[in-house]
Amino acid sequence: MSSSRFLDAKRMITTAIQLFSDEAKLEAASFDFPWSQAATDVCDDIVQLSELREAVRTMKFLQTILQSMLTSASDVLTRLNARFTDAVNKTKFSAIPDDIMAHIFEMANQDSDGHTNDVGVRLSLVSRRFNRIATNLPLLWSTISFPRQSIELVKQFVPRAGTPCIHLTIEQNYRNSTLKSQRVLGMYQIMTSISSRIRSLSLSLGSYDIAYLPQILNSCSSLSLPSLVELKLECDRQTGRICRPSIRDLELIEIIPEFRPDVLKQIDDCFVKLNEMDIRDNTMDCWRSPEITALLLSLTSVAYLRVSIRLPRGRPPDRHKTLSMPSVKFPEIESFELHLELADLTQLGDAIDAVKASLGRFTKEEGAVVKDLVLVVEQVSEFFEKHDAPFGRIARWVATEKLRLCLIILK
Amino acid sequence: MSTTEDKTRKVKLVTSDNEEFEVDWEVATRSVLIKHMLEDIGESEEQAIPLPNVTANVLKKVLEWCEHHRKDPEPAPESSDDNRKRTLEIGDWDAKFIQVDQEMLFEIILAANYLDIKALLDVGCKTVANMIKGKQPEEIRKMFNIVNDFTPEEEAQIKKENEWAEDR
Repeated sequence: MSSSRFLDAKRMITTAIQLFSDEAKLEAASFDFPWSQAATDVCDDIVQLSELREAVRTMKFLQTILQSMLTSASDVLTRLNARFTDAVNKTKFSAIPDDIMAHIFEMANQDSDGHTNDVGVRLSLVSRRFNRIATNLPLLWSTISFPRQSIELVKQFVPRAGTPCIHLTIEQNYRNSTLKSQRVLGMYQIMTSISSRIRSLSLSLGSYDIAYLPQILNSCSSLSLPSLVELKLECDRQTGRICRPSIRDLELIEIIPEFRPDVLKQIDDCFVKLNEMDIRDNTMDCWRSPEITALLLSLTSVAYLRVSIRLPRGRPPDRHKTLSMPSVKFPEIESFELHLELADLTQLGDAIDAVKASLGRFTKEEGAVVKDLVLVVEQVSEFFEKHDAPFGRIARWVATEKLRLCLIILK
Repeated sequence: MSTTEDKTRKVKLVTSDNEEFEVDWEVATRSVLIKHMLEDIGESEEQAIPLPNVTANVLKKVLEWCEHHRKDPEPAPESSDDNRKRTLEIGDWDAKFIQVDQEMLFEIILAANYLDIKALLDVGCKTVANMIKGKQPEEIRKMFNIVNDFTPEEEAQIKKENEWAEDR
């Protein structure tokens, strides 16, 4: 379209908008549009065939022009509608108060990757208003995870996480490098400096950390964790002495730390995973039954206990295969999940007998009623015939005891 | 605590565009604001409650939600732990209810905030939070028609301050 025609069209559209901007005029135009009457008059006035032919040609041309004008007007209307909707949304969105926006930001942070503060970072880059709200929202900055965040970034985020709600993770050093060791040590120093504000702590120590373990322990010597509720410790060697007053949730992976008895007495949610790694490596030290039993017996208030412990194979059964805990009582037990590793499914019958005996003891001695039983059986042998499994025997037992059984067989 | 008499009682609500709605007491009192106003005016059934911040089309939508949730128990006061464990999941009915255009969504949030209907406000906020989740700043701006009012220098500075860890 040439520029003059474009300008003409633009002028016409602007004139049309101005002409019909008054609602009364719009209404009048729709009810008293002059074309119908004028067209009738014109048709009546023309008598000559040549004049009629010319009039038809002219009107066809006019119809084409009007149709293209209508198309243009529809396009303009569509665009105006979209802009109008955007403008309305913008007005309404900016009318949402800051405290509601903060609530939305916190919600957006709920399901995010728990190891970074990326929701906070992304929101703070949207606009000045978003930046102001996001940087004043401690929850968005309260997850500190090393080494996914650099020490510089951690220092930047710590002042923003104002309230005692920091979730801190320090992972083990995965490479034998002095620089990495310095960074890990630096993080332990930061941990000590913000320790009173830590609510959830996850520490992992690996073989490369052993060399500077005394320095780590030294930097943690004045550690105070009054707000700590959750603690997760992961280690491939036994280390450290940690005694903290108000922990409720405890997760222990390959470590049994030296807690004061009163600390363990108040734990109500505990997950213990021991002897999972390198179990077939006879050179590795395994956690022994007495150590495991002592830990579990200390959890006198635990209400929700998940235990995943492998007992080493290929050693004298009287020392390692039996985890005897005669003093542990579970009067409230209702559901029971057991993972078994069997050479083949023919052993399942004996395993079921052992489970029956254990459940019988809970029922008879402690008055517990186990309603749900989950058995996860991992068959080690490659040779497996389905008819070898004592399914009929299991079905009869479940029916007699009125158990809800979920049997999962892994190959 | 509501009485049997309360449950049969009707409440008149008048919107900013002067439309009048007559609803059951149980439905109207999902709004804490309306509940308090009714307590203030006492037994006077004829007196209409003015809602100058809510238009008729928005109140109609809000009342649809209140009607569906009329029997829901009062929300329990939040503890800090609840805050930590909350998810962005929305119930099936609420998810369908909140499938509206952005203008109506923001209107519902504003109305729920004004009328003090916490559960409805949560549904609206979760919907916006789900829209924001996982989006880059530019996508968020585009979605809500937000102007980037940072200077290029300010934006570069914020990006620099929040750079990811070098070890990642």
